[in-house]
Amino acid sequence: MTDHYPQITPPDDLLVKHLLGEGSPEEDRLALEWITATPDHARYFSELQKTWQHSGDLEIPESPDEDEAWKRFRTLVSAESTPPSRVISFRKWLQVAAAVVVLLGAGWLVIKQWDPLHRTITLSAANQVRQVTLPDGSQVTLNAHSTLSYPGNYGAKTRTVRIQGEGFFDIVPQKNRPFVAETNHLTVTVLGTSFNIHDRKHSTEVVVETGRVEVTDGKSALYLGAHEKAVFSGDKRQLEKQSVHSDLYNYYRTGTFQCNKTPLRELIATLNEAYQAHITIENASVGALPITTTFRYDQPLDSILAIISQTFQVTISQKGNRIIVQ
Amino acid sequence: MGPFDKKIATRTGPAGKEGDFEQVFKSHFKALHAYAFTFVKDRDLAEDMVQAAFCKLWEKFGDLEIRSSLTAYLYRSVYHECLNHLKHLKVREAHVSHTRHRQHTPTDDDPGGLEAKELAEAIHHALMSLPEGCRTIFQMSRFESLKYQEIADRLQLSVKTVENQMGKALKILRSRLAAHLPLILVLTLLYFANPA
Repeated sequence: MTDHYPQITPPDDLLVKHLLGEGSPEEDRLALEWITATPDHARYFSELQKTWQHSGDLEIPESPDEDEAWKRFRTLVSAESTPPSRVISFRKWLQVAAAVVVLLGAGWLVIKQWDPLHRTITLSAANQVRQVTLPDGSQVTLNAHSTLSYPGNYGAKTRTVRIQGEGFFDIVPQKNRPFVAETNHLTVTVLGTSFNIHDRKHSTEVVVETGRVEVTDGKSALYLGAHEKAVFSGDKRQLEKQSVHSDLYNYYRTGTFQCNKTPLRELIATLNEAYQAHITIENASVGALPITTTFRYDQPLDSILAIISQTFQVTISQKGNRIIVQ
Repeated sequence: MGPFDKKIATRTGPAGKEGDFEQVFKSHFKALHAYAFTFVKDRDLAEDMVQAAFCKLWEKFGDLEIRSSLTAYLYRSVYHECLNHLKHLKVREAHVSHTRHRQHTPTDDDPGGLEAKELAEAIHHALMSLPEGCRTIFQMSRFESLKYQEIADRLQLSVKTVENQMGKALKILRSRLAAHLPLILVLTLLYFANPA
């Protein structure tokens, strides 16, 4: 709103007292002196006067009778025959308790969020393979659609990470601080090695490239050396050791599918994961055919399949998003 | 200590609670209703606001330790009830503009009806811009016609504070209504020209 009197500082308290007949004779005299000093002062006071008058324009109806209102109030609160304070107090307590819980939770979250030591660092690889360096210098190659998380105080006492999906770990040796990788099913403990973890919905595979690792599902433990793998089957809830006969698992790190007398079905299974495809082999004997070659990950799936088709003289057909090898 | 505060402090049983409470209710109801009316501009709604404020006081009555006066507490309580209500209403803006002026909407043949409506709206807005304490004191002076000393006694404030707050209230209202003041003059003249 515009004010027409930027240059004057009216003694509002005094003027209002005068207006409302609250002033002492001396105050009234002072007020009048101010009002009559300049035309602007007079105008200002007359505006105050009008403001007072018209602020009373808000038509206020006769208020309801207080005795009737009291009766309505009594019915409003009559549900409580006893002093309501106790009932209310209990409810209040519940509210307070709930509020405390919420506050504690929120506080914890805030601390967790802001305290770098308690903060959880989460790294996700969306559609492409991602290279991660942990605070201790260890390298993790995270496959697409995988997530790695570790606490902000990683390396202080322990070196613990959690992985979902697949990752290849190249761990810097540290004598007194074992490195621990957890998945939904397994805990892998190492001192300094390189290994691959592939955590699927129903199974988890750990392949050791160098060094030794300990794998446990909580019930039993396996010790793996180089070129050995542990497979945990969620269905059988069983952990078993198998030998590694291909470097296929490494495709996302090396960028190649290396097959060395690898059964075709293993290659197809890896291609399904790498390209998010749905390739099935109709014929078990075709699936067992050994293949020795190297495909590149940046090659389109179609061209890989074309080569497979030519090499083995098999037909590859597509139905919807399903690809059938027979 | 105000006249009611002592009773709250020395209250012992539920019977005492009821007796005191009824007295507090009845002695404040009309003034608070008038106060709430200046916010919600609806007689029934205004009563709802006051009843809600008393319900809250009822829940706490006896446990409550009011440091200032009970009267000031009740005005403040009604003030917040009203503001909350208006906040909710704001969501349903269309409904608001309908109810707000339901009782005041001038008829088409009312001369200067639109201006009167605008003015009423401007006064309402100006009042809404007053801070709580300031508005309560203004309310008591303007609509309950209380003297400064009486207001000071009821709210347990010094007369000086009442003076300051009244000066502040009129200053704010004047500046808010400044744009409408020439209009007010015209309307006043109109009124004197053809008294209804």
